[in-house]
Amino acid sequence: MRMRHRLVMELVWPGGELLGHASLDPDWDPAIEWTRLSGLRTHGVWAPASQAERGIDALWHSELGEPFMRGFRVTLAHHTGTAWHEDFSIRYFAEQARTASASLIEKGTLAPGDSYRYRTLAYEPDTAEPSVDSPLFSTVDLSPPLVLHDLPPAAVAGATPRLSDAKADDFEVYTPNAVLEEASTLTAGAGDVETGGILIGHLGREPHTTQADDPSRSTMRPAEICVAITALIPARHTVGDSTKLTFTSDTWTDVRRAVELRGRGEIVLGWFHSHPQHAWCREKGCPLEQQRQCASAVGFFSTDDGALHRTMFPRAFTVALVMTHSARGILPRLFGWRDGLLEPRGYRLLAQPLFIGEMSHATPVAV
Amino acid sequence: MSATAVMETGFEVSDVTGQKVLAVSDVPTDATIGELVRGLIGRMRLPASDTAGRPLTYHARLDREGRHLLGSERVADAVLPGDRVVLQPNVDAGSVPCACVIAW
Repeated sequence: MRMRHRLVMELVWPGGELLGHASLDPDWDPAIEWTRLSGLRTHGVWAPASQAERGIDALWHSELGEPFMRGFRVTLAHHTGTAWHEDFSIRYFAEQARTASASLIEKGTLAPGDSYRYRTLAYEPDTAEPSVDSPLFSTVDLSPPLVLHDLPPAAVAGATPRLSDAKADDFEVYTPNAVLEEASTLTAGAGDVETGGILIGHLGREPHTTQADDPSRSTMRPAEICVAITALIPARHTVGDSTKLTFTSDTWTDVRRAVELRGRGEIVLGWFHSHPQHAWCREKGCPLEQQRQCASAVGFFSTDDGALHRTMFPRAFTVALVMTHSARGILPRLFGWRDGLLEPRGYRLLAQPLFIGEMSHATPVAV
Repeated sequence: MSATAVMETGFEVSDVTGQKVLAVSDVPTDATIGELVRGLIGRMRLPASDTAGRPLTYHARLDREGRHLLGSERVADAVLPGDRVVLQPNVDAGSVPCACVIAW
């Protein structure tokens, strides 16, 4: 699914003077996936097939008007007739703005560190859609149904309040403390080299989300979903140094085997990797106090990290754990999809491991 | 226009997570694994390149034989009806922090 309009991005100085422009061909999939998840959260339906995708439409800027966009709308519909949409701001195009600015820096129009703004314009296409090559073969979507486990109240009764970067509308992510401890141990053991792993578990339904618990929720709204991490599988067959970690094809084979061997019906929910900040700081010769104050020490998600997540974990319920080893110690930070973008998010810790498959009822979601 | 011979029965292709699965059929008998993988990347909505614009390498792993298929192999020779092929990329996590920009 693509937008019918032709998109152009303008980069301008903070005062409004034009810096340059670039054509825009966004990756719409994160927005579509976010809208898909919204259908599950608000209507209880999961619509993975492309037939559910109805359109992507420009939303015009309230002051500047057409062709200036304030965002765009993705609409999906279930075969039962239920339709829903999600609106996205032009923050969605920030990565493309960075790419465009890099080109302006190369030309000398912009200097590294300069502030700039961007705006997005949508025009009627001036030519017919290019003809599509006839496909080499046929495909039919056979993706398995999404299974939601009813989370037993006892399993999350002792969970901590939301930690880290929580936002009110986020669904919960539960993780046993042991998973963070294992990630911390792996990070410490890797020393100056990045290491990683894969997070597995279940997608669940919260035990209690009634209108009494949360008056903002409609009584017609289904129980909120949640992510329940059960284990971390250390990534083997990776190639790492202090600034890069390559997950190879053999890494994925190993992970799939491990999930099969556990035999608990767990699914891949995301990944973990470390940032050996202390090694970068040592190489730069930063004073210890400066290392403690460094903004990167709280954990960040690089462009490459985002690209890996987009490639391997496109579903909007997936998460990424970053363990940053710095002068402050080894600190966790969780990232996840929000409005089609990867952002820091909250999580809740459990003292005990989760064994959801043995304790709860699992229901495939209607497709 | 000449007719193209195709495999009579199909097989499945999955992403690493197993959450995206396609049934593949009507593959020409002379199609190679490389052509199959290139055709599948778009249909499975997988990125074709990394952040630097370099092509991502996707390996086609045949579970039945526990091996990576070569791009030059013919699909009809390597894959049997009912097989499952998993697309497994080599992907990098990197550590350069993002710069900040302001959106209107």
